[in-house]
Amino acid sequence: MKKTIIATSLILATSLAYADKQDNVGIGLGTLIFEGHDGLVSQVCAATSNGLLGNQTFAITSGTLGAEKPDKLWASKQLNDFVEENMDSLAQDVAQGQGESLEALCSILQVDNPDAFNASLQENFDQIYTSGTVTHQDVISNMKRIIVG
Amino acid sequence: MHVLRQGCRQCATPFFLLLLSLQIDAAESSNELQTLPVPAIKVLAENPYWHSLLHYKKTWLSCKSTIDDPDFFLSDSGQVDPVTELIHTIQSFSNGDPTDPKHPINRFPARLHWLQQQLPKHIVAQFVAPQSAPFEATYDAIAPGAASLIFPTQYMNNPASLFGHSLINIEGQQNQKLLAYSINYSAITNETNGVVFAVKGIFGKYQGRFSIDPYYQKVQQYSDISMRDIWEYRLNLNKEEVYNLMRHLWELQEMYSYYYFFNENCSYNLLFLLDVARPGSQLVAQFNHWVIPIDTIKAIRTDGFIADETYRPSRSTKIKRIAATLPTELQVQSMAAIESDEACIALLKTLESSKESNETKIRALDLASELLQMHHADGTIRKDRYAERFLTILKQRAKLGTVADDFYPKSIPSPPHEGHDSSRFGWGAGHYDGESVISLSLRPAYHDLMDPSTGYTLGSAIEFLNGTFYYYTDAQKWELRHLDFVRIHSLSPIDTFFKSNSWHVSTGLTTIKDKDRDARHTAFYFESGIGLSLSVCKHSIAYALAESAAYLNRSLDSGHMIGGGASIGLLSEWTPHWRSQLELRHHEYFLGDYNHRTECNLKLAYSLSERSALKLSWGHSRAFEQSWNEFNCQFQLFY
Repeated sequence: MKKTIIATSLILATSLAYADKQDNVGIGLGTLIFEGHDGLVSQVCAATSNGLLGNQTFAITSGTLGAEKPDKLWASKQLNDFVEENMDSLAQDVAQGQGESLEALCSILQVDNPDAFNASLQENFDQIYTSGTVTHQDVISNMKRIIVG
Repeated sequence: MHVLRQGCRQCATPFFLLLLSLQIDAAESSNELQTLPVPAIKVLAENPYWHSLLHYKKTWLSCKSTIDDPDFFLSDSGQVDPVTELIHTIQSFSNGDPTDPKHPINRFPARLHWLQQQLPKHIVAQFVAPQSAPFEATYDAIAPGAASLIFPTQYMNNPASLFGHSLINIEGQQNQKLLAYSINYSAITNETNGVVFAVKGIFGKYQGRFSIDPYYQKVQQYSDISMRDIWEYRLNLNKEEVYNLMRHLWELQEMYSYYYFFNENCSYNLLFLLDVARPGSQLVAQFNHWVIPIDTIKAIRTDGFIADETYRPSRSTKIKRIAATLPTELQVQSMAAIESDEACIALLKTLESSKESNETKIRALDLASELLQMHHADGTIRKDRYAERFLTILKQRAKLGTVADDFYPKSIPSPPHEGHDSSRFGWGAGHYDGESVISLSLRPAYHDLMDPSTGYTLGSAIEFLNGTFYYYTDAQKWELRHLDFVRIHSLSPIDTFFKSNSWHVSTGLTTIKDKDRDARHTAFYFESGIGLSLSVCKHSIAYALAESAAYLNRSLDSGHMIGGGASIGLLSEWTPHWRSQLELRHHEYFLGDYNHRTECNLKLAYSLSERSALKLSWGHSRAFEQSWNEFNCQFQLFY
């Protein structure tokens, strides 16, 4: 039985495992958080994950609803992390003037009128995403300039 | 087995000895504890909830926790002894400095909460703290709300991922799905060699741990990069139940248990969280040797945990949806636009100068930006080129405003829980080379090309240990017809945007004919093939594969025959009830015994109900200069 399982898994593995390396580094547009996860490793529901459950990951807390001042929200770690890790989908949502990433952004920033917020970001798309090398900090400060002034 | 025996021996530690030590320890620290009646402790230790909290699983004589980390237990024999562990838990809650973050009260809030409800007041009063301060602080900061069970379905063109994965999402107070906390159990390894990983994963050589990541990372990983559609099952856990779940999750942080691909896997470990969340729930007990993620979802659903489900289309699904709304030439142009800067500018010029409606322009640009992201993720476009083209396209898109919710078609496939059960039993009758046979089949897992595709994908199949026995009525004997250890098919039709190979691989035991006589032998075989498939109409896939095959058996002159050939076929699902497959195959064997093999197979299946089907198969084969027919009619039951 063990031999059978070994043989089976060998065949499975050799047929399926293929590495897909990517060379994307740095934080900005076109940065993929997950690289080379196309092989067997992630298929068998065992994708390795960086953050073990601990105070560090637990501590990504969301702040208190309605109790934060706008300036504090624009400087929050949650906003920084979210924009950093969702650069591409956020850029697409801003261009389309709608989408789930924008909804999440509005929620982090506790925006009262998301439609107006989204519309002004869409209108000023080229002032937010100024070039292909734009960083997430640039994006946040550009957005803040447009919204807050 | 060794572990099991050891477990039983430890369980059998004379109870009075334990009590004695408890009495001594207790006498030192507190006189009150002595008054807790022994039978009461024993009864409490048998409570199913205590077993859920400690992850005890019944063994043939006693029980053993699936957690392998010694730090999870407060007594040395805690992994196999619920009573001692309970005694030590009560004891350690009643001693020590509660401001120490490593104090058991701070590490085990779910045990604490449950014991506070179960134990008499005077015992609870001895606990050195009324609650686990570090946990409560974190709980307040997260302010958990809605919970969901997340099921990423299969990879495109990769049926091996049919086994899938599952995780639990806890939304914070912002009620944003993307910002939810995803609770994930996985094997911890940096192994990139698939073979090593598979073997070690099957035999429990990796530690598995829980982790928490933002859900948006998971969406990127599964939906955007791996192109797996995701089903989000909203759980109907109330506030207190989510509280229980979080308490227990806290206890499990940094605890390991050995990860076993087939049973103690991601989905299995989530069941403990749900059993602890809702007292009285017994999900874990329903699973033993074989835990397939979708089966756990069905069980969770049957036990009333699920409120409703939502479909999150993967990037490939989105691309297909957008493309369906565009004329072919614009599809082709959008596809070309991602390849070069010139083509990208050409697309924008076409859109600007043409009299196309704004709607069409939006569709073409949305398609191009999705395609760009896909090709960047799969590594075909370099990052710098991608970023420039992506922004060029988005800048144009930003000028065109927003669209209504129903702008793109939203066809939703059948949810995975509506799929057939993964085990299958079949019996029937037929003919094999002129002899009448009664057939009996058993397949523990999972899905075959001829099974109903509701909840699965047409053209994808993965089967484990699928076996058929024939009873030859004249000779009055049973014989193995075939036992496929593993059998995988992936027929992934190519189109304008997706051009992946179709392939299959299978190995196991099968009947072969003798070279000179009519005798049958059971040979080991390995077959694989690679090629292309096309959608010929809405419900049919035509395929052509180049194949290699090897057979090993002593009845062959040289003990083996190895060769290759090709197969072509047509797989159709005419209605949700009717399916058919026609396949022609020719192989030439040139290593070992020389042989030609030609086969024509026709299969027809009709679903009688959700759980049963009627399957007819007819095959004509020629090999070793003989020819024979095989006919079989089976009633199949999914369970």
